[in-house]
Amino acid sequence: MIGLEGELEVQDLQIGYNIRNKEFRAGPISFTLAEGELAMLIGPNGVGKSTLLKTLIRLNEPIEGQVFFQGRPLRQIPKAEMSKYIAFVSTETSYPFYISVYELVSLGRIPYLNWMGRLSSEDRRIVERAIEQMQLEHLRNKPIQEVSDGERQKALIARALAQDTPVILLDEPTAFLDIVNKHNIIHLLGDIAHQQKKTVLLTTHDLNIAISETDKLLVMLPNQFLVGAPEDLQLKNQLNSLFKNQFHFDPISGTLKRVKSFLYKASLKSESTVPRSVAKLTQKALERIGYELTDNSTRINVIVKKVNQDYQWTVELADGNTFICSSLYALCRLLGEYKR
Amino acid sequence: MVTQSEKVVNSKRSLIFVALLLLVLLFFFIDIVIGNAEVPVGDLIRSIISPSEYSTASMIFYNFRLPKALAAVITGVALGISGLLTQTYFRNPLAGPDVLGISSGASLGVAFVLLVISQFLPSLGSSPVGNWTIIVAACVGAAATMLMITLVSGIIRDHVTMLVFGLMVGAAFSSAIIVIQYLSNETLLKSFVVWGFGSIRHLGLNHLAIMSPFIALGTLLSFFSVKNLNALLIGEKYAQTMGINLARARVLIFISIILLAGTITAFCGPIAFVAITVPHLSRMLLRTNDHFVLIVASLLTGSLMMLLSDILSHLPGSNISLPINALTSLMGIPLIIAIILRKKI
Repeated sequence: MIGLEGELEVQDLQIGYNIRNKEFRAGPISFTLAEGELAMLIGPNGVGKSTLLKTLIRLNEPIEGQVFFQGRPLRQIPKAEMSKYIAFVSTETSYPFYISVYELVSLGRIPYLNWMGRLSSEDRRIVERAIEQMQLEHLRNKPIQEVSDGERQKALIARALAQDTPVILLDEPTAFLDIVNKHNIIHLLGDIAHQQKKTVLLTTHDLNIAISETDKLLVMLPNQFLVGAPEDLQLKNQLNSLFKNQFHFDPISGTLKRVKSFLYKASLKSESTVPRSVAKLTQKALERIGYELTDNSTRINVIVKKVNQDYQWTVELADGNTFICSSLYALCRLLGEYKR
Repeated sequence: MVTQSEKVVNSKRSLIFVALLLLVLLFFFIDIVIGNAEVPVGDLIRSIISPSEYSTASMIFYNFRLPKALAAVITGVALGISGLLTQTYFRNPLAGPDVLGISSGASLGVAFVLLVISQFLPSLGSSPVGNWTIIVAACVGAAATMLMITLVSGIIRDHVTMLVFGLMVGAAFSSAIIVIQYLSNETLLKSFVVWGFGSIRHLGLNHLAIMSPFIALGTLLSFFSVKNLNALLIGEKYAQTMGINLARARVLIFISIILLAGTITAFCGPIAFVAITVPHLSRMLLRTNDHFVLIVASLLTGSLMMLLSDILSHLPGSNISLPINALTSLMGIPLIIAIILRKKI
């Protein structure tokens, strides 16, 4: 058995809190995170992903169950010592004082400093390395309030890197980021896990990124906790349970589709000169506006033809009318009208 | 490259500190020279060496000039550091012991001792025990207010709303003090009114001797909080995950603030806008958030602001002197307004 020896091992963990009459409970949860592994935790809003992370970093105490760090029960590790093992990046974004990126990152060294909080040259070297790793050199002296959302997230990750811990937990590091920044952050975190042999666990809502990038997928549901390589979960067809049957997960394309209730039927034929991809796109467009495709002839028949270099969509209606559309947009407009 | 820029920053920092220190010494000297009675500078200096020969100058030096200059420095140090600590503790750049009502809480404690308890123990106000009682009462009043503000700051997240709340608390306490004043007899009232003006001029060396240990302890404790304060900059949760014992850190900072703000209020009454202004001046000058640097800068800048206010309060060419509170407010308020307008909060 390889890779089951965990950096972080969670056993039958019951999590939750009871603040101001708001009670919340989740679990039991069991999983193991290995060294050098990028893991992602997904699940619907309010299922307890953040609470789980906070329990792992001991901002919340567990109700039951155990967490082990390198085989040691986490509960028995003093918090000051634990801050050298596990770093946390939270969603909290309030910075009342103008603090530079460098200052923010250097705060990651706090677990190693004496009460006077002076940085040694070794500390500064580690801070510099973290800044370089997150590609923040040019922003060193910029106030954290004046950088973009993506840059701020990188600075927060750099702070966690400066903390120099074998485990890093991140609560929604890609929230509020555009698609380029999202991928950028995830790749940097992947590099950190794989090259520096750190254990990285993050929560995310982005299933597509999770499936294509993570080594281990943790799926948290109200009464279920699934763990495995994303492909393992696809193999067992377990991902569909995530979406309460409102969405359908297509295991081949690896993408999500909303499960639609089709109200209308149409048939689609294409001439032999038309490539399959064009027929596919036509199907996608028709499904998008609520048409279910059947092979039988219906009240609406769509035929795709190739005319010169372009394509043409002929619509034959049951009332005998025929329309010719020169784009899928025109086809959708026409059939959208016809629905009414 | 890094060490090079690091050296530049450090030498720049040292330069600013030396400049501040020289300015403090200069203003200290000017503050001693300037006063209501006209005494030649030479006489003042000579009186230090031979007090018997220049007995009038010596009397003025030891009874008026030296105490007020020392008082300005001590209050400046205490208010500057307590302001810095309050702002980081509440994570609110508009906080200060005065604007959050903490000083008013201390005043209420003092009023309670001077106006209520003194009715039953008439000799308390003038006895040596009285001074200690006043400090304790001020610190208790400050601590109670600060506890309340701490609880409320968990609910009110907005900086400016928190400021409004603090001002209302302050106003409520001031009103309570007025009510107590109306119910007090005239002799007690007189001693309290003098105290309540926010003045440093009535302080003698004996008062300063009593204050100093408290201020020194508060200052020392603040240096022990440097790492905790730095960690709190990015929030309590982060601080905890970096191994900071939050409860211990908060109590330590809390005690520092209470000692500094309470003692000053106990002896000088509420002095406005020094505590809120000084930390901002320090951050602007030193361009850092490292609390070790900021505490040193704040105690120097605080001394400067108080010394300058005291110097300016003696109108040149007349023997009228303005209340120091008016000058500290006139200096501090424009800066605070500028900070609010620039949204640097």
